[in-house]
Amino acid sequence: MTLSFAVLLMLFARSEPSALGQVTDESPHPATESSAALATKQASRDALARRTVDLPRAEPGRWAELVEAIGSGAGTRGLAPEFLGRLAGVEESYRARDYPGALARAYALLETAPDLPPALLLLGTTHYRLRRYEDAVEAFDRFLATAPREVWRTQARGHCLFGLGRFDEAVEHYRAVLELLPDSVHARRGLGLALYERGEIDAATVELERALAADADAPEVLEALARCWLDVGQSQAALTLLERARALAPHSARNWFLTRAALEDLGREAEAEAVAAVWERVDELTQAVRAVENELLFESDNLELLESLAVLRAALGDVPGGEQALVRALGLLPAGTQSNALLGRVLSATEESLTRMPDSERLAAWRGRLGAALGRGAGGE
Amino acid sequence: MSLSSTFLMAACCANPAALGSAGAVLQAGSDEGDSMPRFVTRELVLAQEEGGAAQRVLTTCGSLAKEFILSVNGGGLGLGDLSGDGVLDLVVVDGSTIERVRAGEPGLPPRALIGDGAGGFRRPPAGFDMAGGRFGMGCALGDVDADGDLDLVVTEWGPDRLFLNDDGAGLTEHTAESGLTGDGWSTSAAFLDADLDGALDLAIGGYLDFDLDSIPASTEGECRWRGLDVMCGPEGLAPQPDRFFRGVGDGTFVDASEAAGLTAVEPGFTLGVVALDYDADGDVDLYLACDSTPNRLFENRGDGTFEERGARRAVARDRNGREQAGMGIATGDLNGDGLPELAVTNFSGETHALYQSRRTRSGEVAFTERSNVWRLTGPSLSRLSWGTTLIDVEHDGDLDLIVMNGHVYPQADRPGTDTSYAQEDDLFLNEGERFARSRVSEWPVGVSRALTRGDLDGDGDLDLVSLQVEGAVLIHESVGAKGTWLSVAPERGLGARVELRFGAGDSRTAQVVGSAGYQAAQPETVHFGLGTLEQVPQVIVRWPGGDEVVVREVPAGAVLEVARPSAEPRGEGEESR
Repeated sequence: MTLSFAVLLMLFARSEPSALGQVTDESPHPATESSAALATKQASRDALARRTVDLPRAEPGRWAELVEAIGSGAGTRGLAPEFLGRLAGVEESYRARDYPGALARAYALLETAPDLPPALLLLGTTHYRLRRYEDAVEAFDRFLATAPREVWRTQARGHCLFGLGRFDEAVEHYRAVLELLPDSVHARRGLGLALYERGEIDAATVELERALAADADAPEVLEALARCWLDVGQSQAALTLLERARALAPHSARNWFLTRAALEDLGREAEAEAVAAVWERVDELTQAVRAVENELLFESDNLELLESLAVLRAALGDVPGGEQALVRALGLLPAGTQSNALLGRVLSATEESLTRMPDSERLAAWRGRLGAALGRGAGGE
Repeated sequence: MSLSSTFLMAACCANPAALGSAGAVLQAGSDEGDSMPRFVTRELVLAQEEGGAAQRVLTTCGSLAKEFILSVNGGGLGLGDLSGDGVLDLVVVDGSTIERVRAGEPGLPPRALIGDGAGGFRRPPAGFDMAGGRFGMGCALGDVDADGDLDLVVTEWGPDRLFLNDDGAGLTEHTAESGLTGDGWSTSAAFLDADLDGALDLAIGGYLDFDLDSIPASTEGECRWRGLDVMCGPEGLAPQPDRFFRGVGDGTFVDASEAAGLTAVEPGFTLGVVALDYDADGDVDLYLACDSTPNRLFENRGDGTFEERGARRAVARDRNGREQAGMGIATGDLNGDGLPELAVTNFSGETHALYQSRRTRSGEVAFTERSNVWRLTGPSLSRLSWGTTLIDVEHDGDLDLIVMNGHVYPQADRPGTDTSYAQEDDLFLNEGERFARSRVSEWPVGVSRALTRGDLDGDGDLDLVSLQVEGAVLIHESVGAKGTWLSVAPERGLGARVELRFGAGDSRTAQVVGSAGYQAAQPETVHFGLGTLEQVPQVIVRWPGGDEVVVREVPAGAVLEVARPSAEPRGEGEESR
């Protein structure tokens, strides 16, 4: 078994390989607790009703050896097998996007192993996913109190501080992360956004440009930078960035909104009107997606919601998002169930999107794959 | 027309109350203001009368558990001189209970309370007693029959109501004859003279279709927020159209919603309404804050009909194009360019919006959302905010922002919400294109809703009145003003723009706005803090339609009442107050 913290890296898909190496363990012990037992809805509900601040604290130095091992690249070797198995259980729930289940497992583990650093990290990250930022920050703070040199693992703490409107602290945290991971696009973008929310547009622009230098194909960074340019009246520069971003993520409602604003500023009214029409449709679908995703945070195994998400994302022209939701939905279909109906709905939504969205190449390719899957009659299973 | 008109000076000594008596009340953090208290808060209690006990003024809104969206908006407030004695009186609009609604019983009556001029209120004479409607929400004050006194419109979940003022002796309901139509859910209302005919028109915000028998209660698990079962709405429910009533001038109205253009756009969930001349073109426009739907800006075409231009002017959504849950609206010229900014309060997890206006090269007025530059975003994310106002609390010459807060879900106190049901009310002190947050006062946190402002005790600074849902009415006495001040009260002044001119290129502007933005009405005056100035060289008042009066060398520390040149002659025996 490997406790790799890959789950954390997964959160930051564009993150750089760790400069400190991954925390690994080769313990052969499997998860010792039944998934079914801990993943019950009641346990999840109970976990959602808990606060991280109420967890017991460890005596100082309790995990010093483990932290040393993690810092030296030796990973979680030496950690009791019981704890390793339970950590794997938390990660399993997290990977399955069963965030309430992950909370339940993490809380249970931290009751018996107070302040266990990897568990705190998973707890914080799970809270972050659930947008429970205060609890997330508490978990990350406990982690950092035990393992202060591992600040690079807590980029999400910056995102949480940002979500809480604590921009000064977010700036400070991102800067601490960037000292260890200077090429981190996510931390750099977070720093830029936090500076922007503090009203420091020029400083935000500098950081976002540095993020873009590290990854020229980050649509979120391109959009954020475009917004900065719009704020200072550089509408043409903003428009150029937005066009680049749209080539990468044509389903971004914010992009279409900002593009319209830039065109209006430039006096290109007819183009602005055409963009507004696209934006209205994208925005409506995006709101629907957001609503479904919010529900899925707490009901990851709700097939109906996942099906809706797949169809909505297809209609939005979001190929990666649609594929991801479709795979999840197909994975939940009861054994023996034909998936053609679902595939047909997604295909139909994709075809409708093709008629409206400008980025037809990627959508057309996906339509081809969906059609082929349907043509096989087995839904690609 | 430019006149150096006859005016009345209601001289009043600036009398800053004792400062520093209430101690420090601030939070830690770099965006916090200093520790000096600006308001001292007390609960509104009616003075003991002969043979009677002192009486708290409490409001009711559905139920404590808030199982239905009907129970969350709270009631309304109105400040104005109803009795004609020159002192501000107070209207408190009350709601009802779910039990009364189910039983088909009338709601709790609105109350008019008579000001004593020292910051207190007393029970009114019997003539001011009002019956309950179905479920009261907000109110608007204005002279709808042009007889020189303030009349009252109460918005309701149910038919809206009109009470005409009997020359200061009482309020008599005239709903049946008023021409007010509709039986839906109205929230905020604003009087304005949209077509410049001298008669007040009325705009009313429509919220949503609410049917107690068909909407699930929070306990039924149909609607969720952050994984918690909560009351349903507004999402998933049908929004109601806003309405516009053309005033005849005799206390009656004609429903002109369609002709005026308000129904030409998809309805939203309107909560806040203000009438103001946002583009300084001499006619009065409408701005509506909408819950979970885009805010609307109805631009007056000059003839009393409107065109919706919220998206075009960039005041409909946030900086990223997302709809917010608009509640309250504050207006004021923050940057001294003569055009008003618009501040809109929103839901938790959203930021307040501060739409800063500018004149484009083509001469149009455009807005940019700049809550980040003003450092409002961080402090507002955990807040769910309602009534708001921009006033110069310190009399230092710039506008400060006050925001009333409190969540709609009692479940907000559960773990993991990153917010709370009861919340501090916020005072954002202007530090020069940047706000620093502090608390309004040391009063314990509550669940606030409507807010209005006016000088309750005649000391020259603006006090606040706020309303707690299922709770007390609070008086916040201003104690933080250090500089001098000037108030200007243009006659029949709704929509009038008042400019203080200090020298070449140095001026400040404010507009007379009667709606306090969220289910509340405020006095028809504008108020300026003057810092150390003892005199204003020039005061220019411009009414909608073009009337203009210039008053020179106006001393500070006074209420300047300015007669309107083209005001209709009053009836025999009536005088301009």
